Amino acid sequence: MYTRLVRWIDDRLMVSPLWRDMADHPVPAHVNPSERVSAFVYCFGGVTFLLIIAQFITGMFLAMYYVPDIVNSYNSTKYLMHHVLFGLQLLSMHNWGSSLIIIMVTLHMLRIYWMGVYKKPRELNWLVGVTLLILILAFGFTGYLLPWDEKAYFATQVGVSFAKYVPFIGPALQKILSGGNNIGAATLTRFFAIHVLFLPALLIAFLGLHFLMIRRQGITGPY
Amino acid sequence: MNDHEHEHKAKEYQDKGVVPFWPEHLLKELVVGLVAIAVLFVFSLFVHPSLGHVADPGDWAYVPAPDWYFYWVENFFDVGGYYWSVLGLVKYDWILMFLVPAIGVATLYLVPFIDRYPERRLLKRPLMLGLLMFGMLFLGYFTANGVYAHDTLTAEEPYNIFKSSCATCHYIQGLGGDQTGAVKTPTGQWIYPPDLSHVGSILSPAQIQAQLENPKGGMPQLNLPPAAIKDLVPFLSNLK
Repeated sequence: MYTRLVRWIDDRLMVSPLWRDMADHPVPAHVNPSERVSAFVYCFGGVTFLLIIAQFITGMFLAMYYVPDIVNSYNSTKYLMHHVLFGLQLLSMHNWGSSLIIIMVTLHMLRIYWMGVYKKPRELNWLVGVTLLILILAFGFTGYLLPWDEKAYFATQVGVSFAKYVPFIGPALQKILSGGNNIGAATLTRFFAIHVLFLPALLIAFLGLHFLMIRRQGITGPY
Repeated sequence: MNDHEHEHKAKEYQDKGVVPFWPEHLLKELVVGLVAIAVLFVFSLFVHPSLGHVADPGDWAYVPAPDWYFYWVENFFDVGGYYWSVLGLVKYDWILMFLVPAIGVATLYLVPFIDRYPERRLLKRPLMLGLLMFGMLFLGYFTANGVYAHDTLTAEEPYNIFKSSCATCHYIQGLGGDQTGAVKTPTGQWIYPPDLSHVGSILSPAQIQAQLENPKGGMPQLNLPPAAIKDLVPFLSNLK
């Protein structure tokens, strides 16, 4: 039954060769934690990716309750925390997830740096990786504003104020970021859109590049 | 792929010391990943984020704090900005606030092009080892210093609010207070704002909070922001 289904799909889409190519792709044994326990250092990147998927899922569920305007964002967050079944756990997972991702990304970068993985031919993937780091920090910064409590408001005020020091375009940049002269209603919707639409799109694109390059270049051998 | 081919491939992989991505590699990596997800899940059961008072742009008493991984940014600009102004370079703010961070980000991007060593071992790449040590010390120092500075600021905050909002009329332990808040009654007597040195043993925290929010007696409505009241109530309650 299963074989017939696969054959039926394959007759039309030829998925098997793609799948076989991915599944049979040889991975050096020295990165496998069951061969050598110390190989877990090769997992930090993969774990980060898994945590990013977890963030996507918890984020989608949070968006079911969150209302991005200055009257309701605080109240909807409060409602989620106190009245929604598992709402507080959901928010907690999203909150902890951001911290764990920062830790895992740092460990991943340290491993890359320590082993000199970015050397030829992998220079370009390092550039993509640093861009991913900046995107992840941008996720953290924009997400911090969304509950719209005092911590969120004043930290964002401080953060956005740094933009004004960029030469020539500083004041304009600050205005674009906050959607006006102050942190207010426009800032909140803007940060919400950046956090849930712009950044995920960019993140997926750059993750795709990251993985394609790893596939093309392979994993570095031991020294 | 038939069984014969499969066996052939398994033999070839074994000779090369490699394993197929699926299932040999990914399943084992997923085990490590599931541990991370389990950690996330357990943390989320026991430690929850807190929601503060709703954002109030007029709250002058609130001490802002970034997320833990941004403490170093805030503290670097704080400390750097202080010395920058001591040196009289305020006019060239953009060097500290833009050029320095831009050089930092550029350095991070250019790591593969800075590292010209043929060796991959870090100990054989002294410049890269030095850069790493510098980066770690930089992040570590400014993060720790940022947390310390924030704690000091929050600890001093109640007393500063008392000085700016209460000490004009009241005094504690011989400090503050003058004739400003004195009221003359119709019968010609003077009523002075009470000494708050022992207010904690006279009023309960709830009574103190009520008095701050809706003052009774001769005290004017101060419209204290929420963060100020949150800081003042425990501060005054501890004056016993």
